[in-house]
Amino acid sequence: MPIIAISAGPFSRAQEVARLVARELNQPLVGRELLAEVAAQYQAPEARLVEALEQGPSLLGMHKALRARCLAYIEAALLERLTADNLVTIGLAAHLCVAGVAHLLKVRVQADLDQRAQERARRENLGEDRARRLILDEDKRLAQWSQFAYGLDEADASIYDLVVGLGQIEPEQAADIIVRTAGYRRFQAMTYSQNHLRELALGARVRAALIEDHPEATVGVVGSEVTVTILAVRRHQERKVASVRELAGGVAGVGELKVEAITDVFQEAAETMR
Amino acid sequence: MAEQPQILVVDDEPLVGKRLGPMLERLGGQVEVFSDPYAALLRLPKKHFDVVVSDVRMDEVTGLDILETALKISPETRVILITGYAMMSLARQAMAKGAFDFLAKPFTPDDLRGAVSRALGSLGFAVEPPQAKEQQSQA
Amino acid sequence: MNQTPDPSRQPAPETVPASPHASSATVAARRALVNRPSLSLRLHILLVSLLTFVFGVGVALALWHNSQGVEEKLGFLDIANEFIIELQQARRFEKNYFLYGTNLSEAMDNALRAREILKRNAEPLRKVAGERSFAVMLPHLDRYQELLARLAALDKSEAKPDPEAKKLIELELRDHGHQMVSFAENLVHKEQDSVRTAMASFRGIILSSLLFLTAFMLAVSWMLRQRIVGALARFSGYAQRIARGDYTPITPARRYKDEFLDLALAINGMIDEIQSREEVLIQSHKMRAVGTLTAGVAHELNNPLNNITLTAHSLLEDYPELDDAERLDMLGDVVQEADRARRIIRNLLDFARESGSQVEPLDLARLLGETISLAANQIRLSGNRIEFNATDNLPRVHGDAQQLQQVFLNLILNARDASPKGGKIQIVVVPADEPNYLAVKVIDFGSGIPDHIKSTIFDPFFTTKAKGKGTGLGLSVSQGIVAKHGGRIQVSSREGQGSTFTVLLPITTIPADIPDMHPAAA
Repeated sequence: MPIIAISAGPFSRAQEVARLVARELNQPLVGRELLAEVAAQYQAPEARLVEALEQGPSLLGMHKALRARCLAYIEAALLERLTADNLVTIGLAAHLCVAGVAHLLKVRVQADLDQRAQERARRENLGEDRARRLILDEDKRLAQWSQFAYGLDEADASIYDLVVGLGQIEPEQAADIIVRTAGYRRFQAMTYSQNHLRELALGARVRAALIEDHPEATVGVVGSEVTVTILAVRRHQERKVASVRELAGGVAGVGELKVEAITDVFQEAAETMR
Repeated sequence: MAEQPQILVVDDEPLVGKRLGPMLERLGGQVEVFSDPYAALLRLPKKHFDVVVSDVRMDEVTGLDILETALKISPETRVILITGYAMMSLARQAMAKGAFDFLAKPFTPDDLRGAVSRALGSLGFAVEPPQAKEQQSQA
Repeated sequence: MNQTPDPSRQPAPETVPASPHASSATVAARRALVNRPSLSLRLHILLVSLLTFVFGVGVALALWHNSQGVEEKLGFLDIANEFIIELQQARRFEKNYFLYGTNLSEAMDNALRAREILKRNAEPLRKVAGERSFAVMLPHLDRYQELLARLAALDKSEAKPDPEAKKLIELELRDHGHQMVSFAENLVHKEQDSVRTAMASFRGIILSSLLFLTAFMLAVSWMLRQRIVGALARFSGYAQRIARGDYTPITPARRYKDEFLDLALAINGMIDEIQSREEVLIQSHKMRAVGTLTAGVAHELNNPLNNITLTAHSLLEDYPELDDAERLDMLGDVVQEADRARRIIRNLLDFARESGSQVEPLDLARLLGETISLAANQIRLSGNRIEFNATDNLPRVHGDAQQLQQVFLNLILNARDASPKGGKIQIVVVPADEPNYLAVKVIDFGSGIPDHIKSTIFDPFFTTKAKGKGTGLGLSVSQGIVAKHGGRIQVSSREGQGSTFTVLLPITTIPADIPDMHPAAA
């Protein structure tokens, strides 16, 4: 069975659909509750993690580096779970941060605006107009967020394998459609996609280990061979490479570790000007 | 069905067959190796194969042709495709057409042995578990 | 400014600094331009004005001198007239004396005054009339006075003067008086004539200098016009030449340098700049092609890598059971496949490498073979195939292998984009219909080029590809490269049937003049 990543705008009753799918497939559902684990594992406040998953870019908003760190931690934890289990995930941006894995079924659940407004009005005891306005605002913010954090528009149908509209069908039927689609052979796991997912997960773990000290590091993984590329001025290179070796070397699953330092000419130029 | 699993290896890179042949024989199979995909295509109707391992991108005949032909002749046959040109769309296409597994080059012998063992296991052959360091989990 | 020649040999003002991109050709051209004797337009005009001024002064001096001469002559005429009047007066009294016996003293007074006039004006008279006439005049006057004195003495001493002696004196007196007067009158006439001539020469001077000035001004303005208009025409010629893509620097067209030197240097600087921009453009376009190829090459690498992985693993796992021959065979396979991987990468890197323009005789068939192998994987990835045919033993062309490879690669990738899936791309190298040219034809069987865009496909930024897929610079850059090789690209296309791009390149008997693209390291 494939991994199923569900994405939806707020108040789309997607949680309900996800729960139904998980129950039908007898798979665990992994949602925001994972953030508590992430917070514990990486010593990051949970509120910050949530913020990193929701807040669009703004002047007074979250610092870019902090957001990148939070997202790296979430990704690492999420991918860890995805390699271990077949599961259903929602609300953790799996549809954005996992690319090229053939057995990850990306689903968008799309409720229409009236339904969402009614749902919000009911839950938060608001007027429907106000609820509608709030939802539109939030959609806009989320579009900005996904564009900013992952360079993709979350609402763009073409990034999904399946888009289910809830306008005319019930959540049960939507769940049924998703489960049936998940049964198609084309979405089944295979050695290639599992290896690929495992590489992604290893890369995410290494990145999470490095991101505090080396936010600019890029990580490439082939099999268990990890290549870390960092940017540093020449005289710091040796020290930085050693630090990367220490941090990344301790990550579980890292076989051979290669660290490449690219000379940061701009920084070097800036320093000589001083 | 013969006692010994029959395995067909098709890759226009002769070295692949040269290495996979002995490797799969050690799993207990009887292996035929083709580096000419067209010859392999002609061979398929003449003999029953339990597992077919084929490269995808070859001139004239592709692995997908081999896959279709093999399944048409015997739906039970497990076809494992390998390719240097792995992409998600191709992988999904191969799976949709009925491939048993899909591997990207370069793969390790363990990867392939794992896939072939699972294929043989699914056909009821008793195979000694491959000496894999990382056993694949397959639903 | 490391490119400028020895400054001591080059006193010209450095108004245009040598561009950092200066090629050796422009540096040479610059040297030739600067190391000419200077004859600026400014100097030209200044010289002309000076000459005109000097000429004017000359004319004025001549007139001045002339008028002074005339004045002197007029002064002389006055004196001569006075002299003549005194003499005539003297002679009248003298006549009266002889006729009526009047007093002689008045005649003597007159003669004395005439003498005084002569004496007083001896200097100017001598100058105008000449020493000789003065020398003639004075003895006459002396004798005349002496005779008068003798006559007066004769009258006083004897109560009755001897009429014979008186007659003798009278004759001599008359003769001397007459000669003096006629000589003086003669002189006056002569001087009057010469004043008249001087007046005429005034007119002559003025007229001829006017004529000369007109001619001179005409000549000078014609020369200036030649210099300015001629230079403008030359420079507009340069501009057209540059627009056509001929980046040969401007070399001296005249023996002297002038204000147009700065312009020429500026244009040469611009040529360098354009050339270096074009190089950057060509290079960046090449890198785009490399980017397109990389996907194919990365995939292609997976085959040898896989072979190495499998062989190495087999060797590792089965080492104890293998005999030496088998082990050696496996190691041989590893080495061979590693070589194959290296070749694949080197092929791409060779193409991607930024290198100086290297013009050499090229075997086009071989070059195309290499280009096709570079693109082969990309072509196969998109499900197309290439059919390549070349006439045997083709003559060589003169060119830069990398740049031409870029042109062919661009045409091949274009053909791939135009081809339907599974379509064939045909490439042929044949002698062109035109003698001394080879033709490389890249033929696709795609949708063809609609007539209405046929004329624009070589324009920069023209593209039919989806946004982000093409820069629209490929054909324009290719055309630039081919033009630099002395060739051209032709297109024929029929809608719905495909297109043929033909690259015509001159064979090596006439080496193409390719400007040196990279300055020697300074």
